[in-house]
Amino acid sequence: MKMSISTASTQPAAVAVRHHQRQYSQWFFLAPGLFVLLVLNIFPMLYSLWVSLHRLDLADPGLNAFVGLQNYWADLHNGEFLQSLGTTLIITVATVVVQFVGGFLIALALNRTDIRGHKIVASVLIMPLAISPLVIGILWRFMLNADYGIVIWLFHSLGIHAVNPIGTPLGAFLSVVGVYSWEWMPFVALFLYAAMLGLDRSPFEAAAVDGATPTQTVLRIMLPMLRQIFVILVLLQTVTAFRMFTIVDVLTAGGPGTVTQTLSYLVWQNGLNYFTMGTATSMSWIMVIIMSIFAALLIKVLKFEV
Amino acid sequence: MISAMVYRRASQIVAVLFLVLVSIIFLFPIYWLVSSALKSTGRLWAIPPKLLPNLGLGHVWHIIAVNHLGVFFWHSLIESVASTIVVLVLATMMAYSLSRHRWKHRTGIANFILSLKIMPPIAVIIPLYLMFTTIGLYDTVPGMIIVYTLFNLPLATWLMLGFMRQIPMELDESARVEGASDWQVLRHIILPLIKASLVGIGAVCVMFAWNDYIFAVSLTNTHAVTLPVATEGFLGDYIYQWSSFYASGSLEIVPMVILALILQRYLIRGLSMGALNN
Repeated sequence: MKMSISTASTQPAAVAVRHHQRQYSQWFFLAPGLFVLLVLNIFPMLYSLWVSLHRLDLADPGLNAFVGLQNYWADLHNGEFLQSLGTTLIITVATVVVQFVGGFLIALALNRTDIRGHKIVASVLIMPLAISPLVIGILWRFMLNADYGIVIWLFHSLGIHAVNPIGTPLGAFLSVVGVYSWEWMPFVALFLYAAMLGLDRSPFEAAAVDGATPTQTVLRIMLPMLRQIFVILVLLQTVTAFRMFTIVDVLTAGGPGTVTQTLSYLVWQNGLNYFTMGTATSMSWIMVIIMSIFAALLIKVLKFEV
Repeated sequence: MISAMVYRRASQIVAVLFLVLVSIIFLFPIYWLVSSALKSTGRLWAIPPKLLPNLGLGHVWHIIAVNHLGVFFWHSLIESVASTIVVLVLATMMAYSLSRHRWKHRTGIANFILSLKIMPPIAVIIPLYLMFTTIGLYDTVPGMIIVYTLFNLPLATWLMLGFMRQIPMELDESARVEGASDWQVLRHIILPLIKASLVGIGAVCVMFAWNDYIFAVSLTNTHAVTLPVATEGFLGDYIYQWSSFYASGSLEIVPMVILALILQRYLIRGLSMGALNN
């Protein structure tokens, strides 16, 4: 239909009728998507909650029964679970720090007006975002291999020989953090760069007139202006890192031993390798609770400060 | 004054060298993967490593044909594209309802949709595995389309909500005074204004689905296997098929890298909007 903007007045009764219709049309537009989310997301989660209160062992179904909160109790006294929780928290903090330090430095360098070629670097940085973590993980496993990896060859040709990134606990930990940061640092860098481009220029000009050093300008003017974006990005990257699975699975398989075993990996092993579904679902619910508390706290902090 | 100029010059050089180093760090692994797909076995293991490939594209095509990688490519394509179309339709409708209607619970529902993003995939995979094996959706293409729809819908809705909130309400109000219905406002006023956002959000959704590993490895086995799972399959516990891995990995990443470069502008906007509007 053809529409033109005019100032023609409408009868009050007609407006009332239309308003009444709109009361329902909001639900009409919302319903299909909400239905999909409820059926596909909420129902499985509730089902998972129900399973977590049972012993559900697909490989040994004889003793399956309702056990109440026993699975949760067992998880909290399970050394492997607690160790994985600690590993996940350490890896998450380490990778978020690396991503932000590296990403912020890259964004600062890109933000300089006296350098050309921003677009080329930005194009390079967008590529890791487009590649599957699986391929990234396996590729780095080859490149870091102690016998024939190109990175190790590089170390050797520099005269450094005692490097075995994936075979030693510390090496495996650093590899997981490094490769995961390789995957996500470009995202943080591009994001912060885009945010820097959107900043109001006048405080920076005033600082230049006052003779502020570049370091002062960044610390005293730019960082406070970017605070809200930092909080949002930290939340996003923390939630994403906390669920890390693929890089761990293909790079170290949680090893050596269980040194780099993250919670997602442990839940996956329990659920889809040992088929002890009660244990897997209760562990995953503890993950959900931890993340919800973290997100709620961060959102609260954000609301207070903005 | 001179020292200030020297300082500026020095920091400029440091910044350029830093960006060159950064570019090498992020570009080289991708080059190494694709060039290794074009190397003979002897060259793959040469020490010192050989940077340049020695085989043509025929080698890759041969590996793709021998391993029937086309089937997995097709699964990846149909699952990511079909789910993205469903997601875009549902997300646009939901965002329209949440941004163009002023009603009581809209903020609550919007926050609920966002909160779904916080759930770790593994938490929903275990119950989905149990449900899918029961109702016969395990290891099927429709099952995976459903999975990627549920995976992408919260983010897409949230992104779309951010874009729609930027459109002034006066536009629809004046159309409503003219007697336009909701569908007409959505089709003739909102949609033309969010075309670019649709492209960006669609690209993000296709990439997430195409690159997914955890859902695919958990919920497929034979008949709906995507490229990442097939790629992983070349590296068994005992047999490593290096050339096949490199070819399969390249087949997987090259379309997405090209897509990302073409849609670069939309993609950065889509990704940054998503986090900025909450």
